[in-house]
Amino acid sequence: MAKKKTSGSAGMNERTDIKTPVSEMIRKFKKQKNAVVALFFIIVLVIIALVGEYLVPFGINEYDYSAILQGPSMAHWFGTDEFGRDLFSRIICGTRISLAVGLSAVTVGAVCGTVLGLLGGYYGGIVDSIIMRICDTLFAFPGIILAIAIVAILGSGLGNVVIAVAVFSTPTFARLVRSRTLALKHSVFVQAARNLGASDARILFRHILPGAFPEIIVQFTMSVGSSILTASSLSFLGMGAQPPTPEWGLLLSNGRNYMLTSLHATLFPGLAIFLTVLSFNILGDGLRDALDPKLTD
Amino acid sequence: MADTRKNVLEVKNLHTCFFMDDGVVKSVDGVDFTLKEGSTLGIVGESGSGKSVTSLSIMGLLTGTTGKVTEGEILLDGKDIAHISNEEKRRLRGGQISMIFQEPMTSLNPVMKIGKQLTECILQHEKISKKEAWQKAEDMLRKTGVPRVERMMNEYPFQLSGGQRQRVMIAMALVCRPRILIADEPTTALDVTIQAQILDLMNNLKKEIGTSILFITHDLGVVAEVCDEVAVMYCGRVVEKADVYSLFENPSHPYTRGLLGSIPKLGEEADELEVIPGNVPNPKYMPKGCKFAPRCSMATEKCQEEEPGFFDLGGGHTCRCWLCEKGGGEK
Amino acid sequence: MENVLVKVEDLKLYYPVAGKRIGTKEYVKAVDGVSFEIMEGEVFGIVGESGCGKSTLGRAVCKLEKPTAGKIVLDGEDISGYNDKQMRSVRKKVQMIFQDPYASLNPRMSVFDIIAEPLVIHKLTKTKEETEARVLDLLRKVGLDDYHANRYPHEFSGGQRQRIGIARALAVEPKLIIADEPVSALDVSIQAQVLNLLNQLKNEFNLTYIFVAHDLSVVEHISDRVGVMYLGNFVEVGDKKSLYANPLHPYTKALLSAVPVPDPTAKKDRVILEGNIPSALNPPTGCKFHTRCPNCMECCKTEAPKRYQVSENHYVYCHLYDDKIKS
Repeated sequence: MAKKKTSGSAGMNERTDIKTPVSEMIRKFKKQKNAVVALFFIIVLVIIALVGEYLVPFGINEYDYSAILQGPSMAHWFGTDEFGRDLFSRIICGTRISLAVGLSAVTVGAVCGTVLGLLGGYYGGIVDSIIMRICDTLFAFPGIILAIAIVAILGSGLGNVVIAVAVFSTPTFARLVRSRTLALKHSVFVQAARNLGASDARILFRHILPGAFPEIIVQFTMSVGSSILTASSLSFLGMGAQPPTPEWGLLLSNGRNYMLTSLHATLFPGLAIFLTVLSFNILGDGLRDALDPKLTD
Repeated sequence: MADTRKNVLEVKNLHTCFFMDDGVVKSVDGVDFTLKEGSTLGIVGESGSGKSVTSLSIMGLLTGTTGKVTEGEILLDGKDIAHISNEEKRRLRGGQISMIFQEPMTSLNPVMKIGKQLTECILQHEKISKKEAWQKAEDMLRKTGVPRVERMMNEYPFQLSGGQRQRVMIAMALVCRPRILIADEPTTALDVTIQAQILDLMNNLKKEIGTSILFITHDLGVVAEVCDEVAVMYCGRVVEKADVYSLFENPSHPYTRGLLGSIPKLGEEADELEVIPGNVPNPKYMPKGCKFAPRCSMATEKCQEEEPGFFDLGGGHTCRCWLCEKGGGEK
Repeated sequence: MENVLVKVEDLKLYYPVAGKRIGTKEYVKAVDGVSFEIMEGEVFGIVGESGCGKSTLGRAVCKLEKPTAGKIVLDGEDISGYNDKQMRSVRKKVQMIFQDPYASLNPRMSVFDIIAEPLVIHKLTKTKEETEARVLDLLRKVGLDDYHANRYPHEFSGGQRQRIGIARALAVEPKLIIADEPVSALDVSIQAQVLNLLNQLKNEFNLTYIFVAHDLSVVEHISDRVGVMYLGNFVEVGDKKSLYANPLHPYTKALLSAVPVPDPTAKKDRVILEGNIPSALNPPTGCKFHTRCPNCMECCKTEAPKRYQVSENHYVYCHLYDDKIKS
């Protein structure tokens, strides 16, 4: 019947014109110039995190007491700190720490939160109530205070910062995934899958989870930004990374003592944190528009 | 059939395009028709035929979308309304032209009482006191045949059933006695028994108020019941135009014939329905010649290459098909 | 041919809703005690207006909605008491086609994955090649092309999506297909294509359909037997010919007369019903139709009508056909 004719030569064009959800996403993402810039910046950051260590002109713990708290110069692009260490090198090397802390903490939080959200949303009842009440409790604390409390209990150190940040990003994901699950649970295509005889696991991971993926990705990106900020704040307060680690928050904290005389010591670490967090947020916004669930225009 | 009635609405060579980021979509591509005073013109077409975009262009409701009238004229009582300011368009809407939509709930304000909505609509266009407006609204609502009018004036849209909401919409559209009522699939969301009620009501009110109606629908059965004249649209063009009797008696465009054949008819036994093969072409890959040629069983080489113009079949019956070239319209 | 494939007895499906006072519950009686039988190879059409419970009934038969009470026997197997897990094996016998072809396909799965899903779930194919061959075969059966397999649902028109939905339903080689308004979201020309396809597939695979729709002419076209529903009950059930040529229930008469006929010269005596369908939360007592019935009698207000057989295979639920009352 319809097979007989697929509209002549026009059909040939249509045949080759395939749009997948991914290609659609890329097309929409490309339209957002600032998000593309942010993505580019983040890619550069990741490269720096991976290989920066081998490129920097000075070692991170190379003391030079002849050049203490010098301003930016050709030799020291970002100036030096109170021990004469090159700030540029320290910030470059700190990239890895900040990104690693942010990414690992949010990954843990996202995985835990997603699983909890899926279970709570899909099965409902007592499971859901327990999960959501725990989330409500965690939401009742401001994030940074919660993180301080956790670090205070576990002791300071980068590892514990990761745990603290993971714990406080979990409920965000749980709540998000739960609401998507609730909506998708009643969608016709999930009912259609049930009608085919699909098991709960199949429905959850093949139909509902992919439907929640766009939201998870957007939230993930945004959370990485705020986690880097939280981790830096903890280090700034002396509860995270310990000297002489070149963590950005710690650099900022050190520089603070000399702010009046040597502004560069706070300016550059601050700028690093600021730009990184900003680009993650812009990227998140861009992804949100690109991943609009209504795949059509 | 010499018709001396005045033309209320004339649409001439209307082109409406939507500017998307991956190209321009011509939704309406050279549409002509006239609506005579006191008559009902049906525009029939399937989704993607451009029938709704035509109505939005007439209403001036394309602002805020990527759509734009790029060419052509829309004349209301001889005055062009396609190229006037938004403010002027706004004044026309509800006063001179009004519209009812398929889903009445989306066009009623959910948090405003029915009476208030009707009254506001009157006060926008007429300088009368609130009390008079209220009275007028109540009268209009009574004409639409809803029960317990006084109570309904103080109710919210969600308290009404689908049929009642559509009656309220009709009351709101007609309360300022517009010259033209555009009805875009007004009964598609309703059940058959309610649809019958609403069609009846529209026919009666048309006579009483003297409004001309532009009736947009996909349902040929509804067209046969309410329209005086019909324009069949396909891919942004009118392909056949006639008064309702000659159209159903002598459908000349293969598309019109196909449409009529596709509807299962009550009391008629058939193992298989006639079918128009294929789908409406993707607007990005419009065929070159006649837009219907790829789905047409009678298409010739010429149809693939060249788009036909209108051929007159007499009595105001025109058809855009090469088969009618000799004025034939053979069956 | 004369095997009973589906037997439904006194099926009820009530939805609980919060009552007016806190803590109380009221029930929406979507399906209120329906019984019917469907023979193998038959097309049983269910018509009615929105809110009459026709879709709910269709979904209850394959237990996508849990019935409140009643018995469902499918192919000799009483599935009334089955839980979700037990139903999974039954799903090979009964499949559903949904109304909205836009919503019933997962937008993030390619057409291939959508059609292959039932094969994977029920482990109907052993190798990848076998799955692929089967999916392409199904695609061709419903009138689509091989190259469509790698595409995603949003690239298809409504009619094509409905074809994908049909291919998915056919994948498990079911005996019964419940089609819930399968063509009401489609354009007329496409609607005809899909109706012809359904007819053709029925003959090819010896299928039985329960065809739920609001469009009387569509139901007449495709069905062998038709049941007319009003507020959760059948009001009239009969052979298509007998029911359409000789409608007995006042509601059926009104419904049929309200259908617009594509012929401007046809003059109709129209029975225009007053008012709206009452709420299923508080259905009228007695015959549920009595509030709108032009032939309402005293007994209709208090007593629910029994089933009266008018001719072989034509039943009506209306006091007008009670000999005692008539005389």
